[in-house]
Amino acid sequence: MPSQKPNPAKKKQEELAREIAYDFLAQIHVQMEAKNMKQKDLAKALGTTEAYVSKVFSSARNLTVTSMIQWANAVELTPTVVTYENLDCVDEVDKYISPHVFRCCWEKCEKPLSMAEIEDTFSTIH
Amino acid sequence: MEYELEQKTKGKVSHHRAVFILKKRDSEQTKNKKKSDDAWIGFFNLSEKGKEEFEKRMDKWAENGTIPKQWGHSWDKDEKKGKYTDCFCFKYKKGRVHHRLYGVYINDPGEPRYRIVLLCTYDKKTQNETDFSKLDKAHKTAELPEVLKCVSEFFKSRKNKVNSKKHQRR
Repeated sequence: MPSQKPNPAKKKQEELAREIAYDFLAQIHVQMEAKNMKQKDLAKALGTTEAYVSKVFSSARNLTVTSMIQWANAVELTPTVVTYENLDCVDEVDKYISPHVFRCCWEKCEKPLSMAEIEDTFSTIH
Repeated sequence: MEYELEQKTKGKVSHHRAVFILKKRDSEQTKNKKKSDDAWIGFFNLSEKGKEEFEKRMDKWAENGTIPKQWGHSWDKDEKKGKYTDCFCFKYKKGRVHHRLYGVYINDPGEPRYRIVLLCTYDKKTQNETDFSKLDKAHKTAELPEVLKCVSEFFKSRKNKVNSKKHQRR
């Protein structure tokens, strides 16, 4: 039987998937605290059981794009996807940029809703 | 006994919070001890996966200042007469086994906005209930003069680093 070789690219992708799941659930939790929502309230909003919600938080996995949208919507958030070019100039651990960074930048730019609004903001600055 | 602090959160996560494990200078010699309630030894003996899970939970606490109760929690003032409001617990469950790392909050007296969790004790169990003797031991350990000295030296060295960075920016 051929031995299974470790696949470093797959391992990195799995680590990234974990990081994304953790960040997503952390954002859900922060929003729940802000809204004074308990996990049973989230379960109700999702139409599921508190045990299921607890299991997802505990394992931080099994999140599909659709379930992320459902969870975010249940706490009155809207998810989006941001990509950026690979950062080759920094250490491996620093390559992942937290969604907080993108959110903070968006808030600092007065929450533009479109590229047109960004262009307007920057044209008044220059 | 001499101690040192081992940082578990990534340095870039936050300037306000960080998580450290207290390590005895002789821990390297006793690290394979399976039945230890020492946080550093408990952490050392976890699987790679277990270590990664704990570290992610610690990073999220440092970043947000709050995490879901399945990843960790503190204790309210109405629990156990408020004896453990300065304690924090990081949690990880694999199958039926619950892993716990217990520590205490310590604020930098020179910069009260900077807070660390110093993890002192470890527990491995099959029940969810807290064994408060582990928290008592974490309290006692964090109050040892050698540990206080070690933490104080860390805060001093951190202050120097922050000041030199500010100086470089000018």
